[in-house]
Amino acid sequence: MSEADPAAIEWDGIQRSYMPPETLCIDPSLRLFEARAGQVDPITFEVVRNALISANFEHGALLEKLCVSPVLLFGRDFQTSLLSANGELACMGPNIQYFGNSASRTAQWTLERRSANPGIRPGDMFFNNDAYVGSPHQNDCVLLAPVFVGDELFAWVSNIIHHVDVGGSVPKQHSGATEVWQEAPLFPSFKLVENRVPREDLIAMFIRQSRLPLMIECDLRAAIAACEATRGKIEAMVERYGAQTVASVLAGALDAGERLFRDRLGTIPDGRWSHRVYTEAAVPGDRGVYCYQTNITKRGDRLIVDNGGTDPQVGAISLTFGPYSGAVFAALTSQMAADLAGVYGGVYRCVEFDLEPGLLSSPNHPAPISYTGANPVGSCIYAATIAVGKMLSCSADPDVRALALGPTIPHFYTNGLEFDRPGGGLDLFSSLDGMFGSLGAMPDRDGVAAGGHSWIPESVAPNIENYEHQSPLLFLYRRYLDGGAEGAGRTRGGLGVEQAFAQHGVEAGRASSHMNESFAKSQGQWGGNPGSRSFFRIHRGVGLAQRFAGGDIPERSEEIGGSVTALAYKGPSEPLGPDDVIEWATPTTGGWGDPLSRDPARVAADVASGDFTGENVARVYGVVLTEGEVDGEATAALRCRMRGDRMGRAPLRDPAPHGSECCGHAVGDALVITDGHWNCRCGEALGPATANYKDGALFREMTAQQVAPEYLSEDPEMADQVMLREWLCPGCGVRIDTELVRRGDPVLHDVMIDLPLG
Amino acid sequence: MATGAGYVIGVDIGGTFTDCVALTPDARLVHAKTLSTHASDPGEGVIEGIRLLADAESCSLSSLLARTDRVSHGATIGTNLVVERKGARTGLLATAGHTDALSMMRGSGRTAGLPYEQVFSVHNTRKPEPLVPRDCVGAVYERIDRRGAVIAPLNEARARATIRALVEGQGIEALAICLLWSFRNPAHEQRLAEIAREVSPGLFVSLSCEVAPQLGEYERTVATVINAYVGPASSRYLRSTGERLEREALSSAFLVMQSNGGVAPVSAAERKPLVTLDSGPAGGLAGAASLAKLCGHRNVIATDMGGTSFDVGLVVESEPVMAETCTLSQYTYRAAHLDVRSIACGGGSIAWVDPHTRSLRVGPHSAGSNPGPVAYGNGGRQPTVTDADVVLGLLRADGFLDGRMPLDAEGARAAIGTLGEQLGLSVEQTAAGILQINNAAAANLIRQRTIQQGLDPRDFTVYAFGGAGPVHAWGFAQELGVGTCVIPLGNGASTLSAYGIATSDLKLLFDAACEFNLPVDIAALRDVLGDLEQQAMAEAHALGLDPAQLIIESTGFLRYRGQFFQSLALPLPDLGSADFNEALRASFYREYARLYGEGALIMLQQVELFGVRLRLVLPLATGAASLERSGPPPSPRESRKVFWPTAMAWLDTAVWDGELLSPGDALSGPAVVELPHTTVATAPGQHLKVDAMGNYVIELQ
Repeated sequence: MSEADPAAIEWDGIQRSYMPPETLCIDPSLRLFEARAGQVDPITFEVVRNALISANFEHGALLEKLCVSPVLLFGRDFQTSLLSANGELACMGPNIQYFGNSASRTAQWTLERRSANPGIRPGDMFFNNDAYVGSPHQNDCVLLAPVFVGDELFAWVSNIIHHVDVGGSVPKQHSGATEVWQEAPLFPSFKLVENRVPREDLIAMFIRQSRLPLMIECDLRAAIAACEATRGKIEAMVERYGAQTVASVLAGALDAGERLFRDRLGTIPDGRWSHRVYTEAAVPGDRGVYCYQTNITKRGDRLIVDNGGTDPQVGAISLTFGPYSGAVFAALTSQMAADLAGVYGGVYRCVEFDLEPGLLSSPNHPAPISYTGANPVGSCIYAATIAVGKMLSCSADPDVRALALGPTIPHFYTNGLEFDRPGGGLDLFSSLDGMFGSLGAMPDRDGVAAGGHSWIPESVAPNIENYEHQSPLLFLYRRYLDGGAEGAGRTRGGLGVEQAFAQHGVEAGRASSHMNESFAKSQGQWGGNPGSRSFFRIHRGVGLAQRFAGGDIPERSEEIGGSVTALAYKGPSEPLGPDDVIEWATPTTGGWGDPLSRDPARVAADVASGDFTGENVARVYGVVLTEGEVDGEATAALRCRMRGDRMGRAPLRDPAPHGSECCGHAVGDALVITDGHWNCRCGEALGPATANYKDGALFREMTAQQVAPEYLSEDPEMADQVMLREWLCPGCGVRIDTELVRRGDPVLHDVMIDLPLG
Repeated sequence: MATGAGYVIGVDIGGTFTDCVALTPDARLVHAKTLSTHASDPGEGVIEGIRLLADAESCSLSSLLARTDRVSHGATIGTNLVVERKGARTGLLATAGHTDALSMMRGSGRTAGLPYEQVFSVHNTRKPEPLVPRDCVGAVYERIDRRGAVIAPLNEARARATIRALVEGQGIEALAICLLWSFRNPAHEQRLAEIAREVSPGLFVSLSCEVAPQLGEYERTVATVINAYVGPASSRYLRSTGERLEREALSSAFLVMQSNGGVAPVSAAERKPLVTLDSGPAGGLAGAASLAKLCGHRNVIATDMGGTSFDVGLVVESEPVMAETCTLSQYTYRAAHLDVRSIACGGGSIAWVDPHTRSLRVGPHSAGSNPGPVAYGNGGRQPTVTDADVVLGLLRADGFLDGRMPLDAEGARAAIGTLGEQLGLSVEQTAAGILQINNAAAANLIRQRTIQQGLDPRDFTVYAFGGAGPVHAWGFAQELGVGTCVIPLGNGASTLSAYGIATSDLKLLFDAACEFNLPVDIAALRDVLGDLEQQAMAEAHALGLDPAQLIIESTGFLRYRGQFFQSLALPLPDLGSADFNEALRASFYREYARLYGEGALIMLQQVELFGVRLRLVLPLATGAASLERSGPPPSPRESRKVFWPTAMAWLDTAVWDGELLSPGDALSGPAVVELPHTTVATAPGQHLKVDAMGNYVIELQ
């Protein structure tokens, strides 16, 4: 669309996402506080550090009390942070983690573009919802309060909150936009509060855009009040301990985080690790499959992140630099630096981004970006988490290898309904059951059923009674998904959650947004099975009221009855009648390691606890149970036969037991690098370590649907665009790794370690 | 309930000690401390403690109890049962389709209630051990909708079979029943209770519509399950202890402390043991509130510093501040309780050097009481706050616990010295630093709490109690900028919780969820309150309380429509008054603006009244204890060097024997007052005075 020469487009926050230059260009009329105390004693350091972190945490607690939007409250769809004068992140709270870079980017853009006119002065606050500047998407509004010491800018207090509807041609977010003009307006950073007084004209301008002006106003005023209260706390702290001391503590805390991160990086050989994930339907009705890829290159104590391999920008599935970089940082900090508890700026310093413009994760304006929170950002967190996990799996330090968190949920799954109020007007319902999440399989630990998300530390889902109180709905059930082939592995993914509900007390409604996946998107790590598929199905003509009255209460999918309408992944609004029941799930995440390597005793325990049904254990894990007890001999024989079936011939030997001694540099579950060569732990050679180990492994490919009956899709044509590739050890038949990949895409060279190993 | 001129006894069972307090008919206070007897039967410690009180009064246990008006008792048994997962084998009945709710924990079970630093880390967070195993959860076929209408009838035959299977197949001893919307229509839960009693008459049955009748099935289920889980053992304990006291001639009331700050008759606590959970900290705050009323302190920060934690509660306008949400062992439920919050900075908190910031950190890990601080000589190797106290000279090595527990001062000094070497600080600087960091953390928590109430901590009086409180109060009170700090009851500061339990009124709370937009439909609200009052009066009657002596107060819970985490508790104006709605709205706006600023008010947004509470109070008369001057003004026992962090120097410090101090005595810092159970430190520039009740009142600069 743009007339400009693509090469001349800059990362300026207008034509393309903003990426700050090496040195910020700030108007000389604004001076930054740069004095530092020489050496802060270790006691004062700790007292001030603790006070700063507490102030930021209380900022979040205050927002929680004042805001009214359920999305924000249950979804923890907000973040608070403290930035140094130049906009560098000092710390953030335990809320949405990919918001972490958005406040920084916005502050830096504001410093460059607003310091001359209208100027940045004590008592001001700036507001931004322009995703090309720094916001995740239009709904996520950044509020920035500069803190001054005298006439010098000392720090920034910031919050970001998600407003449910900020305008545009469809409510909330637009899954079908092809240009940003169809979405809610972008407001690049403007001065909302002047000398501690909110500009009522500008508040009115913003809330005028919304379909829910009252809710937006409540939350905006809450954000201003909470930001002002926190600014007051920082000012009091400066007064008490001295500006130089506080500034030194801020800087010192960042340095400490940087040291910790570099220490951990130091245990990992240089190299490059990649992962990719696929989504479907760039706009409703589209039958394409699209790829996001993240590559992490480690050079000494620095990381360089690029998005090579990602598809070009298309439809409504792009995301700008703020959320993309935030997703990568969430993947890094949740795995490598969670003990810093939000003081992550030092980690950010060690990471460079080298993005190829015009791709889904680096779009040029006017790519639409309102859909960021639903799909693209979840995909990018997932891809980055596994790429970082692959890197961690190459560490020489077992403690660092154990930090990998395994597969995350690849999208944030939700659904939206609208109901016609009897007297006129509309009720909107957004499911927040995605908050139940599921933690993926970890190297030494199973995932956690309904364990939330690694990137939303304090997420919480509503009660059924909250939903039924707010919206004309009746929930038939809400239960764990069954444990089957999905998420199976040496350690298994946490179970997801399914539910069924019907409208209750209203005649007509619509399913305005839904996500009925054609294929599972969470690939397992190091040979684990993929996670499950999210679904959204409508059962028509269920006769629920009569059945309930007769005491017939469906508790599971197969008991609902009626005729099932399976919807496209994204589709047009679907009408709902009083006799319809909706069935929906947020999926089980992927597994870690070959399922045939899972300790049979743990399989038996899963069956005993009800997490896994007995009839599946032989098929999925190759375990033979006799009256709940493991039959060791039969299990070994069955597993050997199943590995042989994979290979098309008998295995040459048994796999090495998990965790057994290996001579060489271990990589993941099954691989070892010895003398510059890849080997399976069983001893089988897989070729030179300068090449892809996959070249030396046995290769098998099938459609994802063929993996197990659990993966069958209602839309086989869409589903068959996605293949599961397996790389097996030619010696023992262990599954080294898999790829869940678009048919025909090249094999990923995803683990490249620089040789010789240091 | 007799409120004559007899003894009033309060007993608080703690982790290590069982504390007892008696208010004598002539208004004296008698204390006793004995080791808790958790391992066998905690009731033994209770009897032993009361026997010690009798000894102090030079009479027999029976003759003391015969002259006693009431024994009020704070039991930790419920909390311990949950924390140690030693409760009854409990079954749960839930609406079909919703049996996983307890295990799903709203997706937040992995991090609920954990300290801020921990929640970022997936590696360090787990879901808790289940209270009810999955195969002890049964589905009930029924459904009630949000208006309370039955849309699927209760299938009694299936329910009976399920209950029978739980009782006979799983061997459950207690049954929790929590159905969707039961707080709107309790019929199905009540019918299930009848069936359960038919199936198994001895089963402890807990209904959500009685235990926690509020919206939110997860929290309601947790409350009901915990109630059932602790029910049988708690009931057995209360009954046997009550009977034992009766055998020893107690003819009057045996009452149980509740977390809401009031006591309740045993029969009420047996049915709803949930209300007794965490009553220990409530006792401390109640004690502070009760003394503060006598001293004329309207706003009080009550701090209890023990071995592992520092607890803070507030008294605002003479009323202890309450909270509604509790998290126990990562399970969240709703129950009205005195809002006491903890951080991990007690005497046993471990000091360490953060390798990345290279700064000194204190806590959150604690050496606890075993092995305890290095100075205890029980094998503790990591330096703690108590070790810093020893190094600085605030605690005397041969004076701890009345000299019964000699401290290893050399060991403490060596451990802190090692820490100091890593930081380039001297032993004294390091020890002073540990106290400064601990004081700052304590002050920080206090500031958070008061600011959340829209108040300035400097407008409060600090009450400092618990074993480690009086020796540190000079520091954190100064850090806060308050003017006055009180060590309540002097040596009694270590048994304040028992005092609070003894002096608490009888309180019963009755809650109902409702759904009113302002202006409220007064006739409808009158119905809701009328039902509650009927329920309250029936309970009062069953407990044999005299209605004429009862005070009834009604509170409304308000918020802006749409807020979930907000809940302003406001007294309801008189229902008969013409301006009820205007008065209620005005008080909501006033309170909201006071807490969050005028800018947070949204005039167009709907205000809703979503809950009401009736509070039934039976005031239990308690004479103020007062002491008399017992001799001539004493002089210090000795002078010793103490390293004061405020001066960063060793100063000659007067050491006083607290047992010789009487009302009216005054002294100035630097000084240390040694008492059998605690040590009170007064920093340079501070002044301490003993008031008529034996409180040590420290005036700060």
